[in-house]
Amino acid sequence: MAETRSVVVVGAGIAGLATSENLRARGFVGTITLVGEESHLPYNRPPLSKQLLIDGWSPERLLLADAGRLDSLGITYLPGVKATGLDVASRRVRLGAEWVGYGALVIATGLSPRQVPGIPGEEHVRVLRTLDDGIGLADALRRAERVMVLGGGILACELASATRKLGLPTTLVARHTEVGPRSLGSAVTERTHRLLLDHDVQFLTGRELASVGRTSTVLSDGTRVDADVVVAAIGAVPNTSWLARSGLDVEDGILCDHRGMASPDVYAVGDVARWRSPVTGIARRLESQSSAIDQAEIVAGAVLGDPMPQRSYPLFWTELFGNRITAIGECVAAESVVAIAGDLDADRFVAEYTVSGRRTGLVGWNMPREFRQARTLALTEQTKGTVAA
Amino acid sequence: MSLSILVNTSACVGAGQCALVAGEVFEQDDDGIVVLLEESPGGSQESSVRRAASLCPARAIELRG
Ligand SMILES: Cc1cc2nc3c(=O)[nH]c(=O)nc-3n(C[C@H](O)[C@H](O)[C@H](O)COP(=O)(O)OP(=O)(O)OC[C@H]3O[C@@H](n4cnc5c(N)ncnc54)[C@H](O)[C@@H]3O)c2cc1C
Ligand code: SF4
Repeated sequence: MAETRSVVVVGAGIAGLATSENLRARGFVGTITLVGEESHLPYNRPPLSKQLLIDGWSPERLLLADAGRLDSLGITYLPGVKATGLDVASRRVRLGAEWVGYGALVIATGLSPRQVPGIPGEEHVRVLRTLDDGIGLADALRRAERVMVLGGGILACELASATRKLGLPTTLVARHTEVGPRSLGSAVTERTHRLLLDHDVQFLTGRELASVGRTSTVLSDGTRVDADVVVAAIGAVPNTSWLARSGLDVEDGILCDHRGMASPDVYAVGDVARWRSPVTGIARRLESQSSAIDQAEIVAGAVLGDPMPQRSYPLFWTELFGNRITAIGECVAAESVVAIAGDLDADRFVAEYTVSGRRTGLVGWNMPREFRQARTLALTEQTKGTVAA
Repeated sequence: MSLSILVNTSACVGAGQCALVAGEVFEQDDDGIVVLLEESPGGSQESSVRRAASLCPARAIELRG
């Protein structure tokens, strides 16, 4: 492989930015062009559903890097530019209307929220993925009287948590009662369900949204629910439509090997990427900030032909109704869940998830330090080859 | 060379990545919030401190120098 002189990074979220930073940290001296469809400087998404809504953070506090930092790192930042095509044979990517050559291409285009299927009044339904969405929602909530959140995943629960914190009556419309971080299994989803009820979230299941008006909505069974702000958090899909004719496998995210390579000199990182695990052979997408950072480290090394770095063991975190939840590893398929600190019935614990006596994951509930200590122990044991997570 | 570290505790999410990779420089309080044990750690810690800053999922660690 000829030495890479120029890297084009498409998508200026955490994954794209962290890859660019890691390239420089590894001593890469060629050009780095960071292309982002949004007009803002790269910013941090997790606070969009938390500090921006609840604590009134200004948008500036979400920025991941200012122009000076990008400049000092020698990163050419092209905001407001959308990649629209890729030709791997000639190693060119189309930025807007112009084809640009690359030595290596890193794709970090993230996800777009799923929209509610066409119903009357759909234009009143908000989503939350971008800073502009967040600014608009924060503003709407300042004037809101009642809120409806659609969806049962983690983001829907975070939104309900935020709107209750703001004192707004909130209705959550979900498919079923299994709510919150489903990948953490029923021990956590049952708790999340209880939290919603304890915090007076009006919880409706088994119905869909039929129509939306300015101040009230109608569900599929005819129930009318008053709400002047309606937010849908019903999942998100990979931003790969621009790659439709590239020949890459983009069935559910960009298929990559265990170091993020999708095709020679083309890599994908972050939420848009579907990496194959060298251990299980299964390829899947991860939607978390920490795994995006982990992958960015690995891809920067892969682009430069460096040996595989030591893994950073990405974790997942969320905050629901003031509870800090942290998790690592595989939790959903666990056969047994036991508390190794605190008490599973109390509101502070660290739970260990095991399959056939082997630890596969850990969840911390309001016990961040003990959670970390359990991880440290697990990492030590892991180097001896006894546990995962 | 010495590095100076700033932590933004209001951004910290208690993930503990920092204390995991640079336990001599970062600790967590009972709520998991980062506590800086050393504001200008010595050169031998530079690489682990840099890694801590880059792994922090809340980008709450800022390095100068
Ligand atoms: C509201 C919210 C709360 C979250 N909370 C948490 C949390 O508490 N914990 C956690 O671990 N994770 C959380 N996440 C997930 C986390 O934010 C993502 O995992 C992370 O942002 C992924 O980063 P990324 O860079 O891969 O993608 P993104 O952040 O989505 O960035 C992709 C960028 O690429 C741009 N782009 C897309 N298409 C193109 C194109 N064709 N050309 C140019 N640019 C393009 C997009 O505009 C976008 O700016 C949250 C996400 C959201 C939306
Ligand atoms: S890694 Fe970042 S978020 Fe986690 S405890 Fe340290 S400073 Fe806080």
